[in-house]
Order: sequence, then C-alpha cells, then structure tokens
Amino acid sequence: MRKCLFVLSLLALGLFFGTPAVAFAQENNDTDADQQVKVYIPFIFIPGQPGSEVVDETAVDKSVVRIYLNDARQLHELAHDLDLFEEPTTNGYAVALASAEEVAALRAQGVRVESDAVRTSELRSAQAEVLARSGEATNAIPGYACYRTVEETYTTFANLATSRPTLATWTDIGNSWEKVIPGGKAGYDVYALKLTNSAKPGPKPKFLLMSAIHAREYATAELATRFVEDLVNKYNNNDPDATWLLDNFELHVIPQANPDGRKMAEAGQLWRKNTDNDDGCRRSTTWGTDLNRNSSFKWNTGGSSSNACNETYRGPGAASEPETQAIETYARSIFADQRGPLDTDAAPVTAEGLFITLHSYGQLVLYPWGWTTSPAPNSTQLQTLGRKFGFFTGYQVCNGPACLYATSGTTDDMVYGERGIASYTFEIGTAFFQSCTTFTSDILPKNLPALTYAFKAARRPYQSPSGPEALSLTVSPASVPAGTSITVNATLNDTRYNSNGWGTEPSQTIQAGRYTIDTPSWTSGVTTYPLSAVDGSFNASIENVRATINTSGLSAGRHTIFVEGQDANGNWGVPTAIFITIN
Amino acid sequence: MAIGAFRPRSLLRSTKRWLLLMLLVGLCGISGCTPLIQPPTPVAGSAAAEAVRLIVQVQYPTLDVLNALASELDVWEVDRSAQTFVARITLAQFAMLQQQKLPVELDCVKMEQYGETVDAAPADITAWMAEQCPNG
Repeated sequence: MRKCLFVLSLLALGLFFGTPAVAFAQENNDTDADQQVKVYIPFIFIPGQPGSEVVDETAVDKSVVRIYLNDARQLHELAHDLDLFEEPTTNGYAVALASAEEVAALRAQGVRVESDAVRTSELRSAQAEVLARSGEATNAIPGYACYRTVEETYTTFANLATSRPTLATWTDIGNSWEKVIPGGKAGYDVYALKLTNSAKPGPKPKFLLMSAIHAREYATAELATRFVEDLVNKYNNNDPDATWLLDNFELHVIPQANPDGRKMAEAGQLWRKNTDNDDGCRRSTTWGTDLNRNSSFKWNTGGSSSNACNETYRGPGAASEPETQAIETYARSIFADQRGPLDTDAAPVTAEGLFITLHSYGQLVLYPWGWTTSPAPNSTQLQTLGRKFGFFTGYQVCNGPACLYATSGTTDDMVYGERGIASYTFEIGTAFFQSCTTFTSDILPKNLPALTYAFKAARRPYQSPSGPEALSLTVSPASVPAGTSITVNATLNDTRYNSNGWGTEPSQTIQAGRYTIDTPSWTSGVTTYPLSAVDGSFNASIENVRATINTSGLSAGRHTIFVEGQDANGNWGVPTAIFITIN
Repeated sequence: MAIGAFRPRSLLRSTKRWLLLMLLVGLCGISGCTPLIQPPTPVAGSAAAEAVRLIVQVQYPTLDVLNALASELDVWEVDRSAQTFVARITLAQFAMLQQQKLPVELDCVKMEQYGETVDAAPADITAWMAEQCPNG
C-alpha cells in the first residue's frame, strides 16, 4: 500500500511536470496506434534548487529530430554519438535530441534528418514550465539549501530515469526498517540508479557509489547526486570522457542508503543509525542500528557495540537490517565474486569493479581492512588507487585501523571481502552539517574529479592506477575533411599521487603511449597506434607525446580519440579522450 | 604556586582560618591553579538528563584503548599524534571515561556548532561545563 502511494506520488509528479509531453502523445497523429510512445520529459536542473549550478542550458539549444535509418548498424553508431531517446519505429526513423551542428553532420553523411516541430515545441514548453516552477520546488534541508532531502533526491533521479530512459534506470532495491515494520511510520524504499547508455550492449565495468548510510552526513548524498548530474550534463555534450564512460561503463548509485535515519537528521538531529527500535534500547534519542557495523562480512569481530543504545550498535545479527540486506543484495547482483574464501586470498590484478561509500567527515580516503590491523591481500593496489584519490582530494589515505580505529561489519569490508572489489570509504569535508559554502567551494571541486577518475579506473582498479594519466589532450585541427591529417598532443604523467602523510607512491618513467579511434584499447580487434615522445625519447615520469592521425578511413561525423600511457613497469593508465570531427 | 607549599601556621590555628584556607583552595581550583580538576561524576537521572550529549576531547593512552572506546563511543575525530579523539557521549559514557581516569575536556566549539543543549544536565555537570566553556 505504501509503495502504491509512493508510486502514485511519482506519477502525480510526472503528470505535473509532464503535461506538455502527454499532450504530444495525444496529438501526434502520425504515430502508429499500437506503437509504444515514449514520452520525453526534458531533464533540466532547476535554478535555485540543489544542483542549480549545472543547469542544462544546452538542452534548450537542441531540437527534436527524426533520423531515417538504413540498418541496425547505423542505429548503433547514432546511439554512440547522439542523445537518442526513441528507437526506430515502423516508420523507419529514430527520434533524437540534436544540435544544429549534429544535424548538419548527419546530413553531410547523406542521412535523412527531419525536424519534429511539434515535439521541439513541446520540449521548449516543458522546459519553460519547469523553469517557471523553480521557485515552488525548493525545500532542501532547513538551513542547508544545497542539500536535497530524501524525497527531493528521489524525485531528481525518478525524473532523470523518465526523461533519459536510455541512459538512466531507477530501481527499488529494498526497504527501510520503518517500511517493513507494521504500525509505525511509512518508511521508504531504498533505490539504486543505474547510469549507462543502454543502447550499447554490455557487459560493462561497474562503479557502485553509495552515500548517506550514516544519516547525519549531509553532504554525501548531494555529492553523489551532483556527480550523476555532472555526468549526465556532459554526456554527448562536448565532454569526451563523460561520453565514453557512460557508453562503455556502468555507474550505480545508492544515494540514500538510510532514508529513515536521514529524515531524523534532516530535522536537525545528529542522527547516525537507522531507526530500528526493537533491539532493547528504549530511548528514542539513541535507538537504531549502525548500518555501517551491520554488514555480514566479519560482523561482530571488534570495533562495534552490542549496546543497542550506542551509536556503533551492530544490530542483533549479521545483515539484520533491511537496508543492509538491500545494499548487500544489490552489490552481489552487480559484482561477481573475484576473491577466494581465505582472508589472505587476493583478488587478481585483473579484477573488475569499484565501490566507494561516501561518509563525512575527516578528509580521509580509507581502504580495507577495517576489521583487522593485518593488511588486506590487495593492500598495495588499494593503496595505489587510494593515493590517486588523495591527489585529487588532498585527503589522507590510509586504512581505518592505521589512522582512525578498528571497525567491523562495514560496507567497504563486505564488498571487498566477499566480492574482491576495490572498495573505499571517503570521509569528505570537515563537519556533519557541512556549510553549503564549503560544500560548493571545497568538497565538490575536490571530489568530483576523484569520482570521475574512480569511474575510469573501474575496469582495472588494481592495475591501471599504477600507470600514468593522459592529460592536456589537444587535437589540431579538431575538424577536417576526410583524408586530412590531425595532430594529437598529450602529456603522460606518472606522478599524480598523494597520501598526505601516509607514505609515498613510487613513480616510474613513461615507456610508451598509444591511441585508439572510437573504441577503447581493450576492445577486441581494435587497432592501436603509437604516440611518440616530443623530446625524442621516453625517459621521464612526465612526457609530452604526439601523433599524426590519418583520417582517410574515417566516416563523416564525430570520432573519439582515446589516449593512454604506459609506465616502465608495463602498467597502462586509464584513458582520456578527445573528439575530432570529420566534415 | 603549588598548593602543598602554602601552609602558614597562623592560618591553621583556628577553625575560621582553616575554613578560609579551604575557601582559598576552592577558589584556586576554579581559577585553574590546581594541577588536576576532577570533573563531576554524573549520576543516572531523568530521561531528559539521559538525552544530554557532551562533545568532548579525550586523551587515550594506547591504541588498544582507542579501539576499545571507538567500538562503543560515537567517535568523530582522531588525532593520532596528539593521542586524542573527539566524541559525542552520554552522561553515562562520561562517567565511564572518568572511571578509566582518562583526561576529558569539553569541546566548546563543537558544542556550540551543533547546538547541543544541556539544560537537563545535572547541576554539577552544568557547573563543570560553565567552567570548561566560560564564554559559552
């Protein structure tokens, strides 16, 4: 019943914002009667609301177009380059959001493109309506206008899934404690967002980002939400990295891992746990289970409390709480087990997948183990990627027992211990109720690049962080007729690590660079091309590199150049991409 | 000045003078010239008192002690070099720390930052807090 009410609320919200689009579905008479019409509701970030810094102004400049296709291969190419939101119909066209430049490029290839004036008009109307309502929609946490509430976070992601169905799915993965206990508050569903270009088939490397498992840590859910918004705004919008990442990898986000507790914290309480009150604590100010001591891996092995009133109460059993069960089930569903059963079994260096749980505060990047002072079997690799995060954030990089204290039943220990996935806890910022000024001026600029790097590293988290990064990519000229050469320049850098007081990561000299066109280097059958050192030899840990791209075999339109570097130990770093256009 | 060195005979000859000495010792304690002021030992009280939270800085002697305390307390920060941690604690936990004879100081800045209200605290606790955070 409660679930029905929530769904009805979402539907009501959808109707509220989606009226013009629904009207289109009724008016567009040339659509087959039995054809499933996907209603497009533009994804807009509303000024004045959380996330207003990333208003998708570019969407206003785009139009809805029909693209007539010859074959399925052409559809895949389009899905790669365009914001395609309706697949081919019996009329033989796909519907997409495209800029004038993109339309011109398609027409130059001989593709028939027609403007859909009705839908473009509806798009403009819907955008205008959402923008006009911006003043009404702002609630946020009282006194902290930059932080969305549980409901606002859910609405943001539900709207995203509705407006960008090819890119985002929003899934109920379980329940909060209040929801499963009869007679109390309504409680909440726990949700996960999956972000990837679903038109491009997998399997794909996965990055799971979780936030707000500790209720009072205001900034964490907003950071996760902003990361999603940042990627979505950049996708197919002149940001090559966001585009290839969402085409080739999957981002999974559990933004509100403890919604019951979060509601207590939103009211100003320093609430940490969930709100489970049937474990023997009778005090309404202190009951609840610490969900970050309740995970099933090494539960109750020190570093947690048996006292149900304590803030570190581990719960009556391993994964006793519905929120923990939802998180663990979801993690198991997306991550294969890549580690042996012994505590000393290391995951292979080729293990795939990455997990980060966002906490505050402390300005720390923590990696497993938490339950023991013995180093995790992948400790060296975990430390290397951690130090990469430390470069971006300036945070101390260490494992819990070394720089904080021992813990057990934590989510990161579970995801690493049970599945072998590289797992981290970020303790962001300097306060639980972090000011919006600090969130905007410090937390976002430090953590968004770290999360973007994490996403890139999700394919080989134990390997690629040892390799150099490809930086400062340029192409000259960026747009040429087919057959004209393009020069690509980049800097390969193997020095970007920082533990901030917890040891030094060794750097190696660069020994090679390479680039690929349109597909990453690990794709089967892809051709790689060498980059040469500008100074004539690879003998330093920072090298400027260059190559001349022969464009004679490239079709008209946008192409992606992936650049990678390799260090003297043979480690290839994560790629960085840049677009070129063939006229 | 060390308290033990202040024993003029004339002051000890009468009860009134003895009481005066005690008063001086007491004042000296409040003004901070005693080497160690023992915080009060709270007694379990009303439900309102049980809701009182103190944000304190605690000195710990060893990592084992830190780990043991962090498993029970709501520890917010750890400074390994200074061997201190910041925690938000109940009055009962405050008493436990005292029993272990661990130096405890109130974190006045964080008490104010997070708006911790201690109206329901026992009188000896509020007096101790007033002493710890004179501007609060």
